[in-house]
Amino acid sequence: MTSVASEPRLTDLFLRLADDPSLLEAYGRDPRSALAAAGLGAAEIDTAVRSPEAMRTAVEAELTTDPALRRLVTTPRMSTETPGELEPDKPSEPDEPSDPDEGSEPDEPSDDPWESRPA
Amino acid sequence: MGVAAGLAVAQAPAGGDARRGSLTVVGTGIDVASHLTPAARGAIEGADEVLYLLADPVAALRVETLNPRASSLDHFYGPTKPRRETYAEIVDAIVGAVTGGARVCVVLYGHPGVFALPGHEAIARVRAAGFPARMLPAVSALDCLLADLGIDPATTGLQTYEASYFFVRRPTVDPRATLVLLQVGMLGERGGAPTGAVASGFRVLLDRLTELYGSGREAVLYEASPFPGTAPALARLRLGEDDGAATPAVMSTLCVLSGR
Repeated sequence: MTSVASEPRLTDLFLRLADDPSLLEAYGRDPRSALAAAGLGAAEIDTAVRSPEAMRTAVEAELTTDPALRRLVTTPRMSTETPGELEPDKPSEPDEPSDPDEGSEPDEPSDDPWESRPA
Repeated sequence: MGVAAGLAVAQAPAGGDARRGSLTVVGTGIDVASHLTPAARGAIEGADEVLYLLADPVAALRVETLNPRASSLDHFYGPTKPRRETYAEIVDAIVGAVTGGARVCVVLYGHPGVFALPGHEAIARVRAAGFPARMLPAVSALDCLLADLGIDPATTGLQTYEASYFFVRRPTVDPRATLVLLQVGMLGERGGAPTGAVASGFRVLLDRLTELYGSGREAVLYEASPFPGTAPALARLRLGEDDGAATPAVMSTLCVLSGR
């Protein structure tokens, strides 16, 4: 048996969490212990729990070493966008607040809304 | 097959045509280990074909584990390819699978109908073609933000916009309410991946918000954690004062806190 199957330790752990509510509850209380039990070292755990981005990096690092799984590492994609009819230089709705006392001050539309204001 | 999958089958048109297609659109939530509902899981497991668009590889592997007939929609994206074109192709792929007779489950991250165009469009087209289609609710990034930042919309009021839409359309804001701008990490981008223009656009957005809300209003650059046990990414700033270093990640949301 090769060691490839045992390499994605974080990924395996997260998949097990999804199927085991008691393990998920224990992980929520003490993620460091669960990560240690999954075979991660102290330095790896420190890195992984620092932020979502750090955890994502750790997960992607282990998956990219696996030829069968590296295809799963992709750029996060948006699934909506500014509607196509919105041209930046033609705001299509009035800028007037419904209640001048409560609403915001209207802006003057510029030719290019993505252009920085003059200093 | 799970109970929910059975329900999906039961909603197929009567007449005993087992090959008649159907569509169920589900979301994984943000953290697939904690947020995937039993109904969504059942729909995934019971589908003939699963098409997914997910934001992290663990979620993708989870879906493929639940149903080996799952495949990614990511290949429709391109760095500079207009996303509207991508979405049209995705919808065509979904509708084609359903009208071909498959029970199709589309899996999107977060809530499949919140800031997610293809699910809604696919459902409309599938129904127009005479096939059954439904969407199951799920946990969105907005839900996570409300929980993580301790915001109750009933107390503060809540305005939510797609960031580029907000920037271009300039809707009226209530400066006392909480404002949530999603997709600030793709501000002004029409392609499939962010470019360096996002950072400069974000500076302009902060200038605009400072004009609207006044200098010193507290805001949070927020990113929900897709991993259990990992805290969300939070960068607190005050508009017009200490916001110079704030830079959104691709999945970031900007929340201008209520003035109340």
